[in-house]
Amino acid sequence: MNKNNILVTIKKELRSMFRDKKTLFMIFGFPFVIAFFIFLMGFMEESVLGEGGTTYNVGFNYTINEVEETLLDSYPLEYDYYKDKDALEEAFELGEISGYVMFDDESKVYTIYTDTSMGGMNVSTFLATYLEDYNQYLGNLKLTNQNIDPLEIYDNFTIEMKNVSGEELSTSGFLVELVMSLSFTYIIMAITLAAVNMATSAIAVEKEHGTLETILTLPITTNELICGKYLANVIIGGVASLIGFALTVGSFGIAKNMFEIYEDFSISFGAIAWGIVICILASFLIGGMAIAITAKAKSYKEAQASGQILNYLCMIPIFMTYLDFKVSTTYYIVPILNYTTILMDLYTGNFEYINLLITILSTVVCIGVVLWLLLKTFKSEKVLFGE
Amino acid sequence: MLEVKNITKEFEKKISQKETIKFLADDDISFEAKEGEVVGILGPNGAGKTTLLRMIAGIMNPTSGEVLVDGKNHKDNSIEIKKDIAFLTGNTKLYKDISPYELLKMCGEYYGLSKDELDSRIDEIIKKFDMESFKHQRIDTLSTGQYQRTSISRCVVHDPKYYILDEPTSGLDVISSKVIIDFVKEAKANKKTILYSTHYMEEAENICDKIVMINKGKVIIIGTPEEIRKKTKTTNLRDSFFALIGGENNE
Repeated sequence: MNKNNILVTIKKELRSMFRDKKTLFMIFGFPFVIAFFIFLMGFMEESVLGEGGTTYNVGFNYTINEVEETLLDSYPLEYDYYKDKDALEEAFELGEISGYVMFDDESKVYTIYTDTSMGGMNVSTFLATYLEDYNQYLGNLKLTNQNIDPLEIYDNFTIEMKNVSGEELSTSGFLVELVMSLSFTYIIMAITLAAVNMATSAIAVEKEHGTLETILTLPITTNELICGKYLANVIIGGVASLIGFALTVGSFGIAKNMFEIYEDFSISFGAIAWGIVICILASFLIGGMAIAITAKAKSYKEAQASGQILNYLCMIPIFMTYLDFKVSTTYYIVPILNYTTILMDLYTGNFEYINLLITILSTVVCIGVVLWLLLKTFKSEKVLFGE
Repeated sequence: MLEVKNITKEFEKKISQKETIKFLADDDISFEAKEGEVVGILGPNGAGKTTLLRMIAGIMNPTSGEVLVDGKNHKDNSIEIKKDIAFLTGNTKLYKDISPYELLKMCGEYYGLSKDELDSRIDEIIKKFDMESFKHQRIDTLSTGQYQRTSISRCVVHDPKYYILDEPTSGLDVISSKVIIDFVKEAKANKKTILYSTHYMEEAENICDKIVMINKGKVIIIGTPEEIRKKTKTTNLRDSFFALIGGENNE
C-alpha cells in the first residue's frame, strides 16, 4: 500500500470534517454534556435529600407546639401559620409556600396539599414523615403515661442495610451507578456519533455528490482509499472519546469533593491508563463498523439511518444498569456493550484483569473481522458505483 | 497508444424483490486510439459509453477483454496507467467544501508530485485557466463556468498523455461548452490522445478524427466522420446513426 495515498486521504477527510459544524459539535461539544450531566445529577441528588442547603417553605392552619417544632427542625422546612384554607391557597399560588397542612380537629385528619413538581414531591415526603414521627411521639406519650417504657414495646430488633460486599448500603448508590453508566455510555456514544457522521460523509455523501468516482480516477487503490477513510474515522472517534473520557473522569474527580454521592469514585493512574486504552480500541472498532454499516447506503439519509444501530447498541448498558442486570465474564466478549461496563468496573473498584483481557482480545479480533469485511465490501462495484 | 480489446461488461439488474437479470452493458468492444488522435465515442443515453470509459480509465473492471495503455494492462499496472490518464465525466464531481487551489493540491499529492513540482504546476494551471480570481473560493460558490474550468484543471494537474472525457458538455451552456471544446482542441494540438464521448453528433463531427458508434452496448461502426457519412450515404453523423440502427427502438 502507498503510504502517501493513505496520508492524503486522511488529510482530506479531516479537513472536510473540520469544515462540518455538526461533526465538530459531536467531537468537542457533546463531551461537555457529560460533564454538565455529572454536576447536575450531583446537585439534584443533594437537593432531593435536602443536603445542598435547599429549604422549602410550608404553611399550617394550626399553631405548631414545641414538640412539633423540635420534630420539624430536623427537616429542611421553614414553616408559618396561616389563618385558614384561603390564606394557605393564596400563599401557595403566589409561590410563598411549596405545600401546606390542614388539620381537621373533628375528624383528626391531617391533609397535606402540594403539587407534582420535584419540590412538591419532596415537601410531601418530608411532611408525611414528620407527621408519622409526631404520631409516634403521641403514642409513646400514652405508653409513658401508663408507666410502660415505649422502648420495650418497639425495640424488638434492629434493621441494618448492607450491600452484598458487606458495606453500608447507601441510598444514593443506585443513582451514582446510573450516572456513571450514562456518562461512560456517552463516551462510547461520542465515538459512534462522530464515526457515523464521518462515515456518512466519507462514503454515502461522496457517492451522492459524485466525488467518490472522482477519487477513483486518481492513482489510488480502493484498499488505500478505505484505509485512509478508516484511519481518519478512527482519529475522529478517538479524539471524541478521549475528550469525553478526560472530561468525565475530570468531572467525577471534581464532583467527588463537591457532592457526597460521588465519594466512592476511585481514580488511579492504572484506571486512567486502561480507560485511555479502552477508548482508543473502541475507536478502532466503531470507526470501522460505522464505515461497514454505511457502505451500501446511496444517500446521506440512508447512511444516517443505518448508522443509528450503533447508537442503539451503545445505550444497552444504561438499561442493564437500570434493571440491575448482573453480568458474567462471558459478557465481556460482546464488543461495544463491554466498553461501558469495563470503564465502570475501573472506577468502582469492581475491576478484574480477566474481564479487561477478554474485552481487549474480543476487540482486536472484531477489528480484524471488520477490516477484512471493509476491504472485501469495497472491492464490489455495486458498493462503489451503486449500480 | 490506447487499445481496447474485446471488452465486455456484464451487470446484474434487480427487476423485482426476488428476480435479477443479467445484461451486457458493453459487448465485445474493440478499437484503438493513436497519439494525438481524438476518438469520439458516440451513442444515445444508455448505450454503454460511460461503462466503457470507466473500464478504460481503470475504475471498473471488464468482465472479459482488456485495455492496453502503451502496451500495459490495468490488471498489473493500474496505478501507473492512472498516472497517464485524465478522466472527466459528468459523474466526476468536485468537493464542495474546498477551494480550487486545495483541490489541485490534493490531486497533485495523489499523483505523487513533489512540493516544488506541484507548486509550479498549480501556478501554471491557474494562469492557463484564468482561475486567479477564484482560486481560494469554496467550490460550491463558483459559477458554472468557473466550476467547469476547475474540473478540467484537476484533470490536467499531472500533465497526462490520455484524456477520457465523458459527455463533458452535457447540460452546459454555450459559453461553458466552449471552454471544453477549446481545451480539447488545445490538447489535440499538444499531441494528447483523447477519447471523447458525447451524444451531440454535431460536436463530435467538429472535433473528432475517428468515431466509434455504439448502440445497446455494441459497436455499430468505426471510422472517420467522412468514412461513416460515405458508408451510410448520409450528410451528417446524426443521419448516419439513424441509418445504422434502422427502425430499432432504443428504449
